[in-house]
Amino acid sequence: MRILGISAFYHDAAAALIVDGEIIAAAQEERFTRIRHDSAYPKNAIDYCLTFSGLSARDLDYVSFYDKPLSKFDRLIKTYLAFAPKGFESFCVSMPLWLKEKLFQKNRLLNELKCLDETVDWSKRLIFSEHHLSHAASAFFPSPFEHSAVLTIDGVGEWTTTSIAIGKGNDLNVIREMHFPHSLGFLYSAFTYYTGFKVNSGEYKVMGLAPYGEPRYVDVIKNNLIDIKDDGSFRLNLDYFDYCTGLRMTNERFHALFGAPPRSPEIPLTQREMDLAASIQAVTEEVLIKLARSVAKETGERNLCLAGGVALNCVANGKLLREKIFDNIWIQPAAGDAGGALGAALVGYYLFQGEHRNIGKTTDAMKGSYLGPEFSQIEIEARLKAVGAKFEILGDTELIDYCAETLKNGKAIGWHQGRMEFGPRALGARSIIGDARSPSMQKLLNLKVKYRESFRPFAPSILREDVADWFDFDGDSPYMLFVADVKAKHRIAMNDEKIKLFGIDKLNVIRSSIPAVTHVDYSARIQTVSIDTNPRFHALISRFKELTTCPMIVNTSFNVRGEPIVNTPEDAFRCFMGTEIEVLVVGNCVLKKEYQDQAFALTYENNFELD
Amino acid sequence: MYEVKDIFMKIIIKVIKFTFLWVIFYGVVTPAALFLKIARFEVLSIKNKDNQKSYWMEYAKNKKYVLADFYSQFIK
Repeated sequence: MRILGISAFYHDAAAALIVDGEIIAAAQEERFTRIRHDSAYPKNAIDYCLTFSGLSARDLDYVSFYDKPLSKFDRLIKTYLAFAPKGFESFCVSMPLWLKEKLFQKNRLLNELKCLDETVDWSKRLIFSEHHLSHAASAFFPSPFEHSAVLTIDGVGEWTTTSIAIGKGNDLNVIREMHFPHSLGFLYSAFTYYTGFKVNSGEYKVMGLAPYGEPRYVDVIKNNLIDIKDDGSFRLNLDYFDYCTGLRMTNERFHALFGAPPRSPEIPLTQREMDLAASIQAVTEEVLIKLARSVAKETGERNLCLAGGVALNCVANGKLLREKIFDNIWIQPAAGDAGGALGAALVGYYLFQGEHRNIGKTTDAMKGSYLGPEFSQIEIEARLKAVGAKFEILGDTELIDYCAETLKNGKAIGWHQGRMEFGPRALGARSIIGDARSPSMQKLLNLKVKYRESFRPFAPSILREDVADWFDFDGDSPYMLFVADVKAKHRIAMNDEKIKLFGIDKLNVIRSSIPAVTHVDYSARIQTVSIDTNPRFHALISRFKELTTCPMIVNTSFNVRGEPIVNTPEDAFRCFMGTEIEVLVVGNCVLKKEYQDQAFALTYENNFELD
Repeated sequence: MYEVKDIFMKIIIKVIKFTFLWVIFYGVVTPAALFLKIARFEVLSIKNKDNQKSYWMEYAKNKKYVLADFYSQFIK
């Protein structure tokens, strides 16, 4: 049974292919088109899935789309009707698009599929899942759990913004939901907008900014914007938001509540934005924990799966884990809408077809989330030669030794290995890596490599076997979805003067023996690396540990701000030549900046719209 | 004179479009939605701290969406 899942037309279009229940391939369209969060029909991602699997389009049994467009239209129309006459401007903007395109998405999909193979009657093979069901399926079915509660929280699907499901074996049933416009995702996005970041891409910046602030607006938020019940269910006070009828997230009343208009992008951050970030983060954590408690109480389940965009809030996930409400938590690495493609395929396989589910006893079915394209050594060499790159080829052991030594010497490396990750995080396949012990690495990477805001922290990739020795965390975090604190023994005590520092002044204080990955509140977003899922990455970190006694390295995504993570060797070379990365490693090819033709150097930082 | 007339025509066209859309929305879409029972006038804005203990809704297993039957519906 071969099922292709597709997500498209909103943000983060993707395709995923499962064969007899096994996840074979998955990729986001943005990685091919180089358009961040590309929402277009994922033609390239689909082509990749088919090519990788060796299947032709006619071999597909079903194609499953991740949501129901007409139900979305239902929501839109009813919202306009409920708020009329307010919202006419928004109506005029959205209705032409719907009337011309979005109402006919089924036809659009059928036409696109016909381009793959016009001899197939695709109308018999095209099915539509529901948005939250797709998310829930993406979380439960690849998990290692026979049964579990599933909590999905996002901006909105068709109507649902928050849902609880119960998964058992090959079955999954949604039992409760909350509807638009009452959305935790939109509440967080409202503050993302208000603090001057881009909605749908800036939320994790708000999360990273939160530790610089104090949660002094929590009561203001809870008294005016959101009513949270004991079971975690909530409603928003729409008098303060504009997203139902307007073209912005917040309105004048919201601005008056917090005493100022929204920050303009690229204007320097102030303590106010940091405090707002801290406050909305605290409220989000409170809602998530209350939701989890009520889910545990109602379902009696000891396992929890999470999905939906809000599940990418790894700070909240870490707090949830420490609350010990559930024995085990598993989170889909592509928890946003890209993962909906995978979920849609799984809905088709298990729920539509009723197929049997095989569960890995100890591991999940995501294959480390390394589901994207890979390139053979021969291909890599040919492609790099074609773009004029100069490289040497090292053997496996030599390569690891060289890279570990280079990291130890304080240089950043662009690391392009194996299959590309599926989801927003780089996990050691398309990564920029550095020395976690370096006090200057964070500044270097932010300003000279990633060209991004200086407050943003970096994350460690640590050997699984050593994580409990360095962090207040002892478990698996292979997808960088949990935040935990650096263990006290590795922290550096601060004097009174440093303790009193506020806001961005905290940034330059060295807080631990691994300053490059220690955030201002001693936290870190951890990736545990196992030899089974990424042996080469594990070997590199192991060798680094032998040289330095430190079992972790900095791991950040291989891209600059506003750019999708690199996919091909050519993408990697371009990013390498456009930044101050000194070494690039693609497969067994090593490229050093000083040997490259400087005619290929790019002014890369301005190539992409800032996110 | 030509430019003034051109601008004047553009304004007229915009007004016609605006009026047309307004008429369509309130004169056609709204009654159609009510007739087809796909509209319900909910008060979507809430007052804080009402007396409900929970805002959870039961998942409607057999939801039907008028017009949505055009799709091959998979609803469990």
